[in-house]
Amino acid sequence: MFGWLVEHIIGIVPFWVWLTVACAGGVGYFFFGIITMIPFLMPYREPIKIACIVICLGGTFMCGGDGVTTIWQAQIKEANAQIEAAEAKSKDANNKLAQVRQEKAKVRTEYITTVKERIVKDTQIIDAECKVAPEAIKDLNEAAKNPLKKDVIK
Amino acid sequence: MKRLILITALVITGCASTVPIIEKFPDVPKDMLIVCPDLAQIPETNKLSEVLPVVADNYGQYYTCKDTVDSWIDWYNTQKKIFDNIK
Repeated sequence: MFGWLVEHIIGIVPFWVWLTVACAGGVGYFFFGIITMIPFLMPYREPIKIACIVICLGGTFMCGGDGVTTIWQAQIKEANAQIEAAEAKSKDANNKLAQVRQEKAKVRTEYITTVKERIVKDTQIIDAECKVAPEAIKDLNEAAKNPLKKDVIK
Repeated sequence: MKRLILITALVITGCASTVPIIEKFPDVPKDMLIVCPDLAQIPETNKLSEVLPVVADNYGQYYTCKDTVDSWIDWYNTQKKIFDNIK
């Protein structure tokens, strides 16, 4: 609650006002301490002293709050600037990574296409002296299955 | 004395503050979020020329997935470095 109070009120009222209030409270305490020695002002001595202490403490409280808030605001500004810079760097790194990945994918696709074209070209040579047994296909397909998938485990 | 402690505590609360800084979790290139598919199965055949393209595709698939894993490692290291520099 007091943090809220400081942050919201301090944003409107300048620091010198709080300093003046604190000083006025302090000066008032001693001033009224002397003034209230006059007999007809004597009954007001204690209430005035308490009021001065409250004013002095209130002013000091807000002075401190103003200083702390100023420091915090500067730190927040700095932190936000760092975060913005980091986000920009992160975005830039992601763009570079995406670009590299795209280039690699292109190279891979071209390479596999070339290999498959070569297989098509060499079809007659490949099939001429080789006949694949059904068991070989079955075993190869078994090897290609993910053993962690439920439908694969028997 | 009790009053003094109470007043001091009250005055010190002025030093308390909340810092409204929100850091966004870094994004990832969308293609890195695609799950690796299962390996392709070879159709029933006795021709090696029909087997080889599937094997070649599976090899290609492996390298695609390897690249994704490598990219995740690269992404993590880069983002960690950027994050660690924020102090």
